[in-house]
Amino acid sequence: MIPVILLLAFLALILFINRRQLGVSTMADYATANHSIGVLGITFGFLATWYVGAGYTVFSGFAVSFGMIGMYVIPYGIITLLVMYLVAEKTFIWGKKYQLRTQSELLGLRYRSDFIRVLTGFAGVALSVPWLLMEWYTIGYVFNYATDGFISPLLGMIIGIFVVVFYVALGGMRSVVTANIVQGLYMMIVGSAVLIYVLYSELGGLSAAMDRLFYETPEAMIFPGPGWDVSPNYWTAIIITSGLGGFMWPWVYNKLFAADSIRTIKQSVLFAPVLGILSFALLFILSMALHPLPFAQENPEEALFWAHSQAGVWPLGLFAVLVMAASLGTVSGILNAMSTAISGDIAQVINRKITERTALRIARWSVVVMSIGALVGAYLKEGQLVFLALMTYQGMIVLSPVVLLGLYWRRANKFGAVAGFLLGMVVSFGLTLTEPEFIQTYGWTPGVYGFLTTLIIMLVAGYLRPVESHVDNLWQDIATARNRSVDSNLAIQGNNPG
Amino acid sequence: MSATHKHSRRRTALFITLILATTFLSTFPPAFLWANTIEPRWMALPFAMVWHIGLALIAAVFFAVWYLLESRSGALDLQVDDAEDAA
Repeated sequence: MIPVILLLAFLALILFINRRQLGVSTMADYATANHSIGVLGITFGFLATWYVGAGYTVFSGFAVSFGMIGMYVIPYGIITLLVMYLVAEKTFIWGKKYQLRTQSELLGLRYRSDFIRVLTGFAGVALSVPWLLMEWYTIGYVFNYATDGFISPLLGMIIGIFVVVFYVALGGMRSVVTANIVQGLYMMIVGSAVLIYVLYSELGGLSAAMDRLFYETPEAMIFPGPGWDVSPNYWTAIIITSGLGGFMWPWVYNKLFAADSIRTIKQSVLFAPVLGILSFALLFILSMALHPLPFAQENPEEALFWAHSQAGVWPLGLFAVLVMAASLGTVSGILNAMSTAISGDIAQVINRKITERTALRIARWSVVVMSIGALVGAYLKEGQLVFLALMTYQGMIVLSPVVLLGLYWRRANKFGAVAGFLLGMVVSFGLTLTEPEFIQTYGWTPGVYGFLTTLIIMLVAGYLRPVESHVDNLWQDIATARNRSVDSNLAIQGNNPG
Repeated sequence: MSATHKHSRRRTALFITLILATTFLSTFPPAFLWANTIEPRWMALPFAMVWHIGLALIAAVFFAVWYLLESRSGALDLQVDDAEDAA
């Protein structure tokens, strides 16, 4: 009974703190909160969206089964944060100046192409669907496990959907970020505390747990882990694929448009690695430590729930809320980004006569329709969700040259971006689906081949064609903003000679 | 290009290199395989894990120094006109 009370209380808290955010009346406010979010919101918005609920089931199960390889998340997180730091300035300046709301709109502006805007908007929506389904399923699973089967997965999903749809559809980005702050704080403080408690109460503490691992299955303490023979290139490939793809998700990237300044974005990059490293390390240490236990080996994805249930109803309830918080953070970000893309990057491009009011209505109904569709999908396709979700990273990495070269290389052009993106996707998903032998032999994941295809095509196309004329204006926007900053600093120093 | 902008570009290149160096050491086979050992253990954790956590913390320090230098140079206080103001 305690776990279900904690879960319902957490959902009620999310609705309560959002009660003043539900009256969004413009599309700009819905999509970007009118560029008003400060460092707390961006930091926890980023972390709560990035941490998926499945991290406590599927990905921790990976560490339970194979040990240290689960730590790939830490170097991959550093690459993702470097990408975030690098794209911050231009994304913010162009976003504010041209009132951009989505990553696809940014790419449409940079390459002066509605086709790229629709293409990347559609790809972002399509690749996000498996994550939405998986997170819905996780919410249902949490309710089912925490109530010992009293609440069915379907009913659990329906309860979760009701809450998320309500605050995302009515409050947009502002509500999403407000909820993310609560979810992120819970994950970092209460979540970490309960993981530490279980590590000590059930496994005798860090030293005892690691010593047990050392004497019983030492191979779990190094790559690639027990019973798995894989090339070291696989380690490199999953870090590069995830690291470059990690910040390309529209539901993560779009948070940049909500920031109130470049300082805010870069400050959040400072806080995120430390918070991320601490909590991820804790999660994976506990997961690794469970490896020697027979139940955990037989049920790796259930292992963390099982360990917390052994510690008592309170730890189980608090852990269930932790997983729920991670899932809600991701789901709300995905719904906000997908509905904004459907309304702004697809509907408003196909029919430019759509008013802002209608666009907002389309976005809100998109949230409702997608949620119901995802509920059905998650219920029917549960067994294939993990495979589909992991496969989507092979697509997201292909987008990274289009974004990074677009922001940092004047010669990057529309032709190269379209051809590179489409052919990169064909290579990446072609190799994923056909699984030729060299993928296993060399260890490089299909996304790496897709990424290289896109990169080479964009570089060749960039040198074959002259720099597009509109690019100079965009670069001039950046130079103007920087020059103003220099002038303003010189003026301040002039006024304060001492 | 002004001296300030050249300095800014050099600083950006330096910190990208430093942060990518930490990633290289924890990601690519020669360095990664060298560190992929259990001993010496620290706080009972295998050396491989300490290596990755340590490099990530070093990267976090590089981010912090980069941020502080940018902040002192005023690079984080850019003023941007939005479209309506510009019009």
